[in-house]
Amino acid sequence: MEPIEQKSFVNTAVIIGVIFGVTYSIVNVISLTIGVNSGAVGVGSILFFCFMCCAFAILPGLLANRFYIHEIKTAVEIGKGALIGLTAGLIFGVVFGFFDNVVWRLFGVDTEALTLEYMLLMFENLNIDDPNMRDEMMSSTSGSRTFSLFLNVLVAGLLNVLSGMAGAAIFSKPYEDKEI
Amino acid sequence: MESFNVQGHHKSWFDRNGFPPWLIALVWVVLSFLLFQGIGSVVALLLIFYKEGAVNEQALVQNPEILLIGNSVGQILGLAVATLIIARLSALPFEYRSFLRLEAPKGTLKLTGFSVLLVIVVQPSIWLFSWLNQQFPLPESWIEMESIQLELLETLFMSGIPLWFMIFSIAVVPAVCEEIMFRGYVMRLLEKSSGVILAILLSGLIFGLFHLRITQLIPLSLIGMLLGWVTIKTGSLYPAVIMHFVHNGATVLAVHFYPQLLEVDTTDALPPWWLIIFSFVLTGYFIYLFSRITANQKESGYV
Repeated sequence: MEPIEQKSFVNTAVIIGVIFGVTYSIVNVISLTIGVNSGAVGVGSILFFCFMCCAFAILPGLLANRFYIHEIKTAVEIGKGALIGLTAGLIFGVVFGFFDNVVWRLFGVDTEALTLEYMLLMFENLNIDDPNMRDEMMSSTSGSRTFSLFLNVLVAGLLNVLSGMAGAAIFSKPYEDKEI
Repeated sequence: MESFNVQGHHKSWFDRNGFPPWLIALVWVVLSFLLFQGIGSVVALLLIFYKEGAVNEQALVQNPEILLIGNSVGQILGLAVATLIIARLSALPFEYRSFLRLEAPKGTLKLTGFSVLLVIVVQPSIWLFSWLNQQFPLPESWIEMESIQLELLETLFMSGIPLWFMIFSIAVVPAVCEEIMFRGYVMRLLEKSSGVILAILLSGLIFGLFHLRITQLIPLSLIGMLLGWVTIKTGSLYPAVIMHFVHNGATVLAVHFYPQLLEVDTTDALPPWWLIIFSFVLTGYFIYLFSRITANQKESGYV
């Protein structure tokens, strides 16, 4: 049997990354659809989106550390926590990107068009009339899909390095006398 | 928590906390890029606002010297100073300078002379790789981004900015700041993780990617690898700084005295074949000489 101290963190990080990637993709599409169909896109819903986006983006690293530490019942160094966070974050970014660009299209949902529609509604509701400003904001949200996918994965990885470090520091506390 | 290594020496903060060096290197490349861009943009926008009373496209185009100042401040603070600070967490105080190779072992001056000759003779070969790079088909959006960068460069060179200021901003600042970051810090971290050869290759590739010029990725990466190789061979960062300065400075001087060079379409233009062959042969010869001279040189300090 594999000694518990040498158990790899990869499984935990991958499972958490996949679960969060899929969940966030579903929540994202549902929120966009509700916003576009109801027309109620204002400051409140934008704040909700920002909060949801941040929460989903940092949770994989934090929770992957929590489950890994709980499983091995040993404290981990924050450097290892960063590595666990990076793995979970990269998987989260890739899975979210895959769902956003491939899976939803199979169901006839164009997430890019949905996002643009949502933004147009936001401009209308916030009375942003300046066409230049609107064009600039729209162009900043569109662009090469490959590049934006790469950016999503990179940002998710980096954010989860930080949340992974935090996770290792927080969840290692009860096991500090037993460190790898 | 154990704070000593196997030889009984203290460990750096990153080592004590179990950070893999390659992870620090990759995260630091991205963070320092963001710092550099963020600081540079804020400084440039504030200066333009102070001078013009508003920030718009016209004000940006009319003040290329301010954009250069922003870029230089961004590099100095975001790349060099920030790297020098974060490197304190990777090395102990007594090994800090040798960790970053901020020292000049015996013979560095002579090797720096060789390095300068090397970077001069390699230019036609680099031109060939630049031409090769541009033969690859690229997405329209990347080509557009590239042409915007070239337009900005053209505006800079045509705007009558004093030569000393151009040399300082385009040759001195990047040579010092980028070398501290890439060859000083990032390559050393990659070396700890993956050994010397992979460190040279990876740090060169990251150097190429860092410039966000996809049509110049191959030549920039090769220059980065050459600078890395020279740094490893000499055990000092200074020859690479001088090489980088000569490379960038020569470009500034060439375009300053021959502005028609900006019009040359490098997609079609290639240097004469005899020059390319001459460059390859001389580069090979210099690399051989360099290797022979440095063969018995042992790097001191950081292990």
